[in-house]
Amino acid sequence: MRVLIVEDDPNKRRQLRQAVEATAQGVAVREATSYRSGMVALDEWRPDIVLLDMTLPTFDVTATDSGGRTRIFGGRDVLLEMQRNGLKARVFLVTQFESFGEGSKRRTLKELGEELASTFPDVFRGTIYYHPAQSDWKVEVDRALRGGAQ
Amino acid sequence: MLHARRQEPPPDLAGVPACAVCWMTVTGRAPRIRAEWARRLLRRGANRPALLAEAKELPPQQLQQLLQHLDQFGQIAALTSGGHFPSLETLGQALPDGSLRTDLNGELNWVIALALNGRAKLGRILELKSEFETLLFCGSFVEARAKLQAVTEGYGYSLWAVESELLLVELEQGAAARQQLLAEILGRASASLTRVAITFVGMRLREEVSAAQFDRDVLAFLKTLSDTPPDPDFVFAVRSLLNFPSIQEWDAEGLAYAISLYEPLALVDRYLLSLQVLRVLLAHPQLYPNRAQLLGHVRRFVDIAPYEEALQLARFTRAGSPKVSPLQDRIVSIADLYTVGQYETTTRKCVALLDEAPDVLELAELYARAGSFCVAAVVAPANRLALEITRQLTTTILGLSGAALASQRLASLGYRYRATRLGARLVVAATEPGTTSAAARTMRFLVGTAPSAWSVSCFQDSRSAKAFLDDLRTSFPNSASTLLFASLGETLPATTLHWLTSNVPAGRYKKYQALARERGGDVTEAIRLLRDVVVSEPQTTITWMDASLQLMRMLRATGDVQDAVVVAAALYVHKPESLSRAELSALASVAPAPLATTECHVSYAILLYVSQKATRGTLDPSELFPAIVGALRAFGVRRASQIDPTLVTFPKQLIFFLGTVCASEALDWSTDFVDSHDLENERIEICRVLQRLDGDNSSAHAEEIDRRTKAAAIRRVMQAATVSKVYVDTDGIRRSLGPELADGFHELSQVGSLERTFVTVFKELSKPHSTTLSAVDRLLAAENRLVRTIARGFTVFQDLFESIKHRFIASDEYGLDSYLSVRIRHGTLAGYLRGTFERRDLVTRKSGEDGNYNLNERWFVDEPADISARANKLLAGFSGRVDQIIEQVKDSWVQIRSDSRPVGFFDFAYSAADLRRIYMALPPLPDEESLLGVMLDELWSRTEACLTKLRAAITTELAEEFMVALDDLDAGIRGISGPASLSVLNAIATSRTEIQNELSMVAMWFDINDVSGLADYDLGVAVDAAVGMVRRSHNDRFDPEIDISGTHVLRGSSLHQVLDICFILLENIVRHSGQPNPVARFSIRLVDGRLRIIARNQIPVVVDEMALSEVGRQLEARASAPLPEGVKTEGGSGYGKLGKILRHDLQSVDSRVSVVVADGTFQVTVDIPFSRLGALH
Repeated sequence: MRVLIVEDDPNKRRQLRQAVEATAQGVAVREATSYRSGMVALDEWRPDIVLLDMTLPTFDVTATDSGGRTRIFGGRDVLLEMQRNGLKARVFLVTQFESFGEGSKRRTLKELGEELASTFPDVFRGTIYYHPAQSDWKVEVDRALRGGAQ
Repeated sequence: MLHARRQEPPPDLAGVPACAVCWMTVTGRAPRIRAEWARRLLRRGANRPALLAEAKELPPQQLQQLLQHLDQFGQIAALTSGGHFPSLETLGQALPDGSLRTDLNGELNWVIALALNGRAKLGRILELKSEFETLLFCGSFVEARAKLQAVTEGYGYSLWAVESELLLVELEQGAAARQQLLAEILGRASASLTRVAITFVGMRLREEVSAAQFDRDVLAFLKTLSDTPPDPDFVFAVRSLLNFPSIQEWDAEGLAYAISLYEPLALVDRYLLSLQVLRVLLAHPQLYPNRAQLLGHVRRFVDIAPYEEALQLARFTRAGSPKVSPLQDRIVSIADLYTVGQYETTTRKCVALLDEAPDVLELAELYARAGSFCVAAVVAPANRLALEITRQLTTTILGLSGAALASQRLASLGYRYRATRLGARLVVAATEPGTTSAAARTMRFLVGTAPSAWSVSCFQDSRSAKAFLDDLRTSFPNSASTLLFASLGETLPATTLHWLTSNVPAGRYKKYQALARERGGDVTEAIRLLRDVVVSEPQTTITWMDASLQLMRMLRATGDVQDAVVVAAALYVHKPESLSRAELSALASVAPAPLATTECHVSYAILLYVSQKATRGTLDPSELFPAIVGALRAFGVRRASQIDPTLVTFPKQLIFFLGTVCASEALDWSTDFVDSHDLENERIEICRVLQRLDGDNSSAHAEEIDRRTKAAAIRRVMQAATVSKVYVDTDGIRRSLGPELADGFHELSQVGSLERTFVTVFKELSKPHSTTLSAVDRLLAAENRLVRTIARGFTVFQDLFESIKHRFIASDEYGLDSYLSVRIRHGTLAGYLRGTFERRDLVTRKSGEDGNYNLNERWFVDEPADISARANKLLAGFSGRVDQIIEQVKDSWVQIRSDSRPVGFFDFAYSAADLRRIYMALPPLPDEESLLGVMLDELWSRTEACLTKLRAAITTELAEEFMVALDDLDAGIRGISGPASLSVLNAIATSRTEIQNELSMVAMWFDINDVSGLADYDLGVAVDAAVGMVRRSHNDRFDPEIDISGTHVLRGSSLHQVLDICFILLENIVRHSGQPNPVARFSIRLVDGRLRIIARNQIPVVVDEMALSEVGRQLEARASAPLPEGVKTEGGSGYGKLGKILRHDLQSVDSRVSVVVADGTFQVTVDIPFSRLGALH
């Protein structure tokens, strides 16, 4: 099984990788840290599962690159491009945010998940709330990798 | 006094015959009945309002007779006409026992009857009104005033007269005079209705108040009248009273209410309102379904007076035989010139007539249309009002850039001139271009001055249209325009037709033929004709624009969306505001696939972009990107910059596509760009293509290239400053050693020579054949000498190494610690790390007064006090923790370990064994430089080892400390329930990622710097980079005025020093100016070979300049001291560091730093020999 982690937060990325590797035997894990590298990995590597962050830089942040525009809904952008390009994978949104947007446009993670499920029914499989100081999310990741319903 | 609408007859009418209408329709009894009616009205206790309301429903003729009869009775006459010509004092006072409101038919019936009854005086007022307005438009204010006085002195006051007087004063003497007059009028007017109306008139005359804002003000005022929502009809009526021309949605009840609300006002006000109401009813037939009855009202209205404003009503309804005024005749003859293509003559004649009649918008429109065909510049009207109107109207009619703004200006102007005939015309003219509704066309006709054959499209049925044209042909025989339209619907004599086809420009003729074909159902032929026009006409002309619009609409209607898209995009790029938002959205929303041609792809992308901007105000790149990709694929390229513009037949569209649609935020959806630099380079490459393709705007594209190139340069410089901040001036160390190095090397060389001798002897004596006693003795002696020699050599080496090491790490001028202090510990580290949390409003700064952290002004501000207090305590605790972590890094990590400070990642302690190992490994050294090189290599190697550990600690331990602090804050915030909690949790989550990225960047500071690799740089770029660094580390709103004379390119080796100088000067302003957003100026001048850097900021008025001058002197002394102080301590001004940079890093002993405090400013000047900066030019 191929698992792609698209995540720009180093700590979260490391924890996700550890959780994935601890869960499944023989799993191949690849990391991407931006919208662009995520799209490239999706296209070239064709993962089975994608653990996708929502807010992403456009390009990888490096010593010489600030990463371009920050995409508040970069995860949705990835899903949209997957849909347009016919890329198939089981995508789980793994986010540290419990809500998105401000004021009257604020949406809970659940509402966002429902919206994504309805917009990207072929690929989107659910949301996982991540918190660095908690471990519930590991159970969710485990379930996601084992193909359980979210 | 306002009356509620009565649904049932009042009780005291019970004795009156059941139906007043029936009662009055018995012709033979009419005189007796009129007398009876008068008696009933005069009877004590009579319900006069009800009786008058009943009268409103009478057939018009009988009502007219009744009013004439009532005029005989003074008391009753006061009820019906007593307030028609009031004084200012009585204007708006409710008539005693005024009538009750009925429906629209009744109200129109009544008001027209009253106007007919008072037609003699009213006619004269209207005549004077027309003359007054013409004088006003022409700027003859004195004469205009006389006319107005003639009205008010002869016929009393009216709302119209008051508004006109205010406008006159405004135009003649300005706003202050208008306000003064307004106060005087309000002092005299007593009726509340009048006072309210005049107050709002005063507001409306102010230029800055828009129609929409004014309407909102009116509504707000109405809400203050009562706690309960006011009656919608009443609201509508008041809006009508105060803001008639700008109302867009109508209802019959509201209009009836408006007419009745006007009852206490002057007859001329009621007449003018009725005129506007009738126009609305004719333009919106659904409001008044009984067409015959409405036309009856119009005919009677037209009979009231030969008022020119009513002429178009008569023409439209063919009420009688409308007279042709001389002005109308001249307008139609100019229109005919335009029709036959005499464009220069048309514009010239328009200008001549506009100077006499600036309010005739038909002329302004003809001027704009004809001008679009003129190659040479056309002469403009001299009249200021006409000039303004033609300018704005030209922009809107031709759909040029800024058309929306021009429409607003026209509406605003119309709003200002609302009391005059020009008001309604301008408001109608300001209607969104592209509006094609019959209502809009009809209204345009009704408010106009002269009939036009183009108005035939107002008539929905061919019979009415033909009747209209026939009427025009009677009024204007031989008019080319009328003949042109007539030719489309009927068979004209061959000679006439020949004349038309020979004289009317082909494009225009075909355009109208196409219209006729479309009306006749032959859309295919219509489209063919229009395509011909679009291809053959120049794209600057109105004919091309009109034909394109028609073609686009026909293509849409016939389902040929792709062609419609192509035509629409061409329209947009040539006439940006010719298409309505609705049309843009409709085309852009059509499913694009599969688009047939490259032009179609490009056109679709353009329309999508424009539609998004027009309807949402922002771009949605996610939708735009596929359209761009489609276009690029159609071109057969992956990148927009690869398009070959020479192969394109639609250059204007391509220019828009490349220049505007291919924005960075749309392109960055492509994975073709590997990083942000690649993307930025693509935009620059696109600009280069545009430079070739779009010669007219070459300078704008060059400017974009410069801007982007400079931004990239600034980023590179900031990055160069960021990637490494670790530095030791080894050249300085070398210079400072002097003879010490040479002496040490000499002694070591001698020792080395002896060593080699002894080793040789020792080896010889150690051979097996040398076993005699004497040999053994000699061997022992040699060994002893060898050991002593080595010991001596090691001592020399150790002393020299320690000396160099001390300079390497601790020299104020050259050493590592001073650079760590200047570049990292002095504000930079704290600024960067704190900045991450400050940007998310998670930390505050300490108050200077009590040392406590300031209250957080972003979160929990509106929450209950206890929640706010708890949250602030948590956030203050987090601020303290962040500062504590930063202090720990500064004090315990980024320090050189020593006996007095046993902490720090920089450990340069060498044990004797370490040194001996180094000494023993020394290779033969040819000179003292080699010896120094070996020692410096060792020190750099140790530095790198320390840096490796520090970098690792920053990205792991330090990151972990911040993570734990954020987790604790997160847990605390979760314990507080409040609307802000979720937002704070989001800010915490965002900070987690950001602080890790920031720490990765901070870790890069601790790389070893190789200044020799730095590229040469522009001084201006370095200053911008320094400003960027200050913004990032201290205040992202800091925006000093930068003024650098000339362009100066300097060697890369001086970059860090220049950045440091600028940073210290700018940072001092931000940190010590005492203002949250300091006003500052940073200038650089090259004077007599010396670079003068001047940083100046305003100082708050509360600051004691004398005391500050003393501070300035101290700073000056600190920066100028030969032995700099404080270069390794942090927290002060950094001026000691400034002096160190100038004198030691730049080796510029004759640099000067001066501080001047005067006239509310604090100014620091740094004066450096330009040559010390490695100036290239």
